[in-house]
Parts: sequence; structure tokens; C-alpha cells
Amino acid sequence: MNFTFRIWRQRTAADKGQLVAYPVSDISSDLSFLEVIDTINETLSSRGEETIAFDMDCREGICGACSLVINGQPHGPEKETTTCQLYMRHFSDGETITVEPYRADSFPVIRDLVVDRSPLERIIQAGGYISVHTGEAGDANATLIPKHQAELAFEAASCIGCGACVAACPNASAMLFVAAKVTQLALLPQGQPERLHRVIRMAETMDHEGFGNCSNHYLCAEACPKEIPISLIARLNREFLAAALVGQEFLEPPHHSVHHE
Amino acid sequence: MFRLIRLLNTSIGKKLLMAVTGTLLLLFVIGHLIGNLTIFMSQNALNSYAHWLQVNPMLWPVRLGLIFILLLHIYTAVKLTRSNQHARRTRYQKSGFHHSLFFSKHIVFSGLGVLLFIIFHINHLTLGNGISELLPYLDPKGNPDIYGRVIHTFSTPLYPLLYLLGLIVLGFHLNHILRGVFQSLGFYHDNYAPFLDFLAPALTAIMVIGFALIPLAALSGLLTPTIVLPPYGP
Repeated sequence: MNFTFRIWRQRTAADKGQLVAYPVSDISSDLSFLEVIDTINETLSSRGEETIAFDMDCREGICGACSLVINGQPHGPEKETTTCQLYMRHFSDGETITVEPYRADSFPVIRDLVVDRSPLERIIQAGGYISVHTGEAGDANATLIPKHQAELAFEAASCIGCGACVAACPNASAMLFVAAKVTQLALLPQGQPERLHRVIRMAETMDHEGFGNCSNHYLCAEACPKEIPISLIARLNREFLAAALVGQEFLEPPHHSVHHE
Repeated sequence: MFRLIRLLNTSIGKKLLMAVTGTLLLLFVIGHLIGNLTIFMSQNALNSYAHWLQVNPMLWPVRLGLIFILLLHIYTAVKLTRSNQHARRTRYQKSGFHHSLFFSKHIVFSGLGVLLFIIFHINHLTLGNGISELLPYLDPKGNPDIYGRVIHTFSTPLYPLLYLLGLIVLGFHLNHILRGVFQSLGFYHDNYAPFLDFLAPALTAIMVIGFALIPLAALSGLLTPTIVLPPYGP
């Protein structure tokens, strides 16, 4: 198969950047999207040119490292698929494919297609954890969790934190990400001790990091490679409003994690 | 008080404020519709309802309250829109979700349209600018003849057309945002999703059709005019 890749090239965060066209020919339809960029990089490298920087890790669709906005859609046109699990057979022969980095003021471009997604890490650090006793492993099934509850929590926990929701949202809102992370722990007994602290801190850190507000376009859920349901945003609102109205934790000074540049 | 200030400083709090003020305004519009539909009962029904409103000591407190709520709604909308524009200043060169641009602008534009419609409507039928020759008319019971004013105003196509346009804009605004209201209030839940997804368009349709019946009935001659003057405009 033959394609023309238009890829965003930007040397440094301060550079203006531009789309550069790279024709590729005789590509197997079973090649993955990232493997095609690898191929382009090999050609560039052999010519002594700068290779294209992009994020990736597991290439199995489970780590959340890969990103990219392909033809205007985070993780490309296939539903419920990460960029690394996207194959060239999903495109038509001769197609021009535009590849851009995630766009959000909270996610500045570091180089080419790599953006700084550490704001999501700081949201997790603010409250996306539970406290556990260390020592010997406890008995399995000592804590009973209704099956339905466990399944809902698991559905939320399938969020890989890739940030596609932010990239898809016209307001660069991180509501779906925060909703998934809050829900996952709020539904389980292990998440109860920090439940109110968690939602207050995570939601306020989200604002502090400069993400936009939800204005009900639901493009986040459309772009999500793990199909996190949109109804979790209402659950996040419910958790946060309850904490704000009655939580003793809301009277404590706000927690904003320190920026590490 | 501290809780409230801190809450309103968060994006979720601002969305809650939008939802609460929006819901209060919607409740007013529903009440306004029910009141207006008395036009289909009789001349006396509408005129005595209007008279009851005019002499009601709560008229101005409620009016001022509504204006305050409306201003709060607009102020919060402007703040949210500005912070949203700030959160994403670089656009994609190629847009994959082609409907996104339409919708993102849509709610702000329809809100602006509704605001223009409200100003036009208050200036026109409430303050009576442009219909001054109709104001002196009283009905047989001695109340101002609102019934006659409305029917005469809507007897030529110009005003019905303008009001229908305003109603369509209001419909767009309501339909897009009603589901969001339940989300912002935290009510939206998968168990109730089918009901809430039905409620938004249903309520919108009731509002738009309910209000539209009045100019349409007047234009088609279904309602009998009580004030006879040369008709307006073309």
C-alpha cells in the first residue's frame, strides 16, 4: 500500500512547527501505524536526518503511552483502539494521513509528536491512590465486593490515562479521565477512607492544571480507546458536589501539587 | 459561605451554577407558557391572569430576581467560555470530528440568540414599544385588553415569523443543554439514561410548540380579534 504521511515536525517547545509530507510506498497492510513511522524514521536516519519523535511503550494497547491525533482523531479512526493497535489495513490505499500531536494548553509539545502529559500524573498524585497496610499479603476475598460494583469499578479502571479525552475535547477538558480515576476507587471498599479528599483534590488539581470545562460535546467518550462511559462524568460531579456540601475535608486548605518544571 | 465560594471557584461548581440558574429560568419559561396558554380559554381568562400579575406585590421582586439569575447565568457562561478558549489555543490542522465545531459554537450562539429574543420580546409586548396604539384598549371587565393586543400583533406574518425564529433558537438551546443539566447536577446515571435522553427533546418540543401555537392561532384567524385596527406591516 502507498500513503502520504503529513507529520507534525517541531524541534523544540519554543519552535513554531509545521506539517511535513513523507511519502511511503510498498507498505504491508498488516503493518501497524507506529511501525510505519518506524519505517519512515529508518529512512530519515539512513539519510542522516532528524528522526520523528513520538511516544510509545508496550505496543499492546494497554499502557497508555502512545498518543497521536490521526486525521483529526486521537488514536485514529478505529473505535476502541489505541494508535499502536491501529493497522494500515484500516486506511485506504493512496490516502493522505495527517498526524499531529495532542493539542491542549496543558499538554505543551516537547518535540514533534511528543507532548508533556505530566498534568495527568499530578492529578493522580493529588488523590488517585489508596492507603494500605504493608506486611504480609491479606487473605484473598477477605473484603466482599458485590459483583455488579466490582464490574463498574473495573470498567472505570480500564482507563489507561492516555489523555485522548483531553485531545478530543474542544475545551481540552480532563473530566472523563478524572471521572474514571475517581469512580474506580469510590466504588470499592478500599477507596473509602480517602474518598472525599480524593475527589476534592483531584478535581481542584484538574482546574489548577488549566484543563477546560465540560460543555457536553461527549467527544471524549467517542475518542476513548477504552470506552470509558460518559455517565462517569455525572458520577464525578455527584461525588464532588457531595464532598463540597458536607465533607469536612472541603474546609481544609486546597491541595495543589507543586509544579516541577 | 467558605464552601460556596470555594465551590464556585471550581469548574464543577461553575457548571452547577449554570445548571441551577438555567433550571430556574426554565421553570419561569414553563410558568410563562402555562399563563400564556390561557389565551385559548377566553379573552377574560388571559386578561384577568395578566391583571393579577400586574397588581401582584411579588411582581417586582420576582422580576428583579429573574434578571439577577439571568445575569448570573450569562456571567458564568462568559467566564466558562473564556477559560475553555484558554485551555485549547492551538487548533488541529485537520479536524476529524466535523460536527464538533458546530456544537461548540452552537450553545454560545443559541444563548446569544435567546438573549436577543428576550430583549426584543420584553421591549415589544411587555413595554409595548411599537404597539402604543393598542395600549389604551380595555376589555368589558375594565382590564387592559392583552388578548386583543396579542391577536392584533400576530395578525400579519411579520411578528409571528420573528417569534417563531426566536422559539427555534430557544429550542436549540434547551435541547442541547437539558441532558447536560442532569450531568452537571450529578443526576445522570445509566439507569435513568433512557428517560433523561427522552425528557430533553420532549420538554423542548412542548416548550416550542406550546408557545408557537399562540402566534399561529392568531395568524390563522382561529382566535377572534377584539381590537380592530389596520393591521401591521406587510
